[in-house]
Amino acid sequence: MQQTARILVVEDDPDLCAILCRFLTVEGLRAECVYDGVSAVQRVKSDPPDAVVLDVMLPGMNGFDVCQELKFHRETTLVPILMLTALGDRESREKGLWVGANAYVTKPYEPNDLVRQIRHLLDHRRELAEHKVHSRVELCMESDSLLREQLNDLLSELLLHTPLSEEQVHRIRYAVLEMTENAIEWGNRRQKDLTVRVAYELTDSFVKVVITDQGPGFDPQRLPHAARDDDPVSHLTIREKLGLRDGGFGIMISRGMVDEVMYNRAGNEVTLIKRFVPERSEVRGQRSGE
Amino acid sequence: MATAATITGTTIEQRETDGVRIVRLNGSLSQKGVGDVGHAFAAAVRGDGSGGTVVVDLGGVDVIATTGITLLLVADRELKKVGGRMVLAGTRGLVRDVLLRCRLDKVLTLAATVDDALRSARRGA
Repeated sequence: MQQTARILVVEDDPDLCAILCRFLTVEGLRAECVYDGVSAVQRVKSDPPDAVVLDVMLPGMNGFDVCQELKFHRETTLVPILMLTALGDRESREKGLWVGANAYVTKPYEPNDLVRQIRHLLDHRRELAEHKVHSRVELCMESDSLLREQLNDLLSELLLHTPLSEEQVHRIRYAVLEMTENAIEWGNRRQKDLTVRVAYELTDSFVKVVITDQGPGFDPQRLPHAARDDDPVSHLTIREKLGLRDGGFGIMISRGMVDEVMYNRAGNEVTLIKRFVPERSEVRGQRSGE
Repeated sequence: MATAATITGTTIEQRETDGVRIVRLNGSLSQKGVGDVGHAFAAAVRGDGSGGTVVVDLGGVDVIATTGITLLLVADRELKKVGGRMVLAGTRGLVRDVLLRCRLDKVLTLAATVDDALRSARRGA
């Protein structure tokens, strides 16, 4: 029999917290309350719930910091977080997504909508577990952000306990850095109001990174001003004629760093995949058995 | 553990040996790193504008992204315009992989070490 999902509600107003918990219970969920950010982090780390409903304005550690602390650590990154806050401005919403919130709901809210969103997050979490996903982080950053390298530090952290060697992790970082810079510079044309979404997914057998920009996209087959594997330097002359600065190596460099580099049809989303190759002894064993 | 490059950002050092300018870069030549040292690097390679040989020591660089490659290509082109010559030295690991993968050894001069680059500069002088 499927267990009742356990939801941790983080809300500093005890009355609001009690009302929400009661409502969730009526809807067939198990709800628990904590009233500040530090307690929320401690509770999730010691006894991870199935999802967290998180207020932003909390005493001590605010909701953004709580979310980042939980999402940026391998052990807690899969716990879905729904931010529930009175902060309805675009900046706060983006900040919520940037620190890894899976959903962002503003007060006042329709209780049934909130439950629907929570159930959606729980379904998503189950789906990830079925696909043996160990970690999944989705982050959003503005085009003028200089946080790209910190993003990659996060990726390295997530990959620390995989079969990948240090050099392989470094290669993935490299590819992600190149393609994120491409998304900002060529996809979003450095427009500050456009964002880039980076999603990391780590499973038993591969790591997948999806980078999406908000630009109109392009045809990856028609890039005369980009380096090609069979001719990595002629494009420099074309770039000079077009008045573009030197460069155009990003896609080619990335192809050399991971197993797959794929664009979507629109050309504004790139997926990088690195597979975990079995240890040599395993490969030898398979071959000898052939 | 954080690397020195993470703590200090990208840095640049400059010295001169036998009339050859040696510019050493340390850290990451990504967009952020190039933002940190780009102008100083261009000025160091340009020098007084009289050309000559400049050895760029990349021994302390652990990452070079497209932005970093661009920095090198532009500096090389500017130096060639005034009859100068730029030699990249000390490339290692992934940085060397990237430069070779982009076949920049066809358009830039690469030397294994700074000493090799200096010897090559003396022969060319």
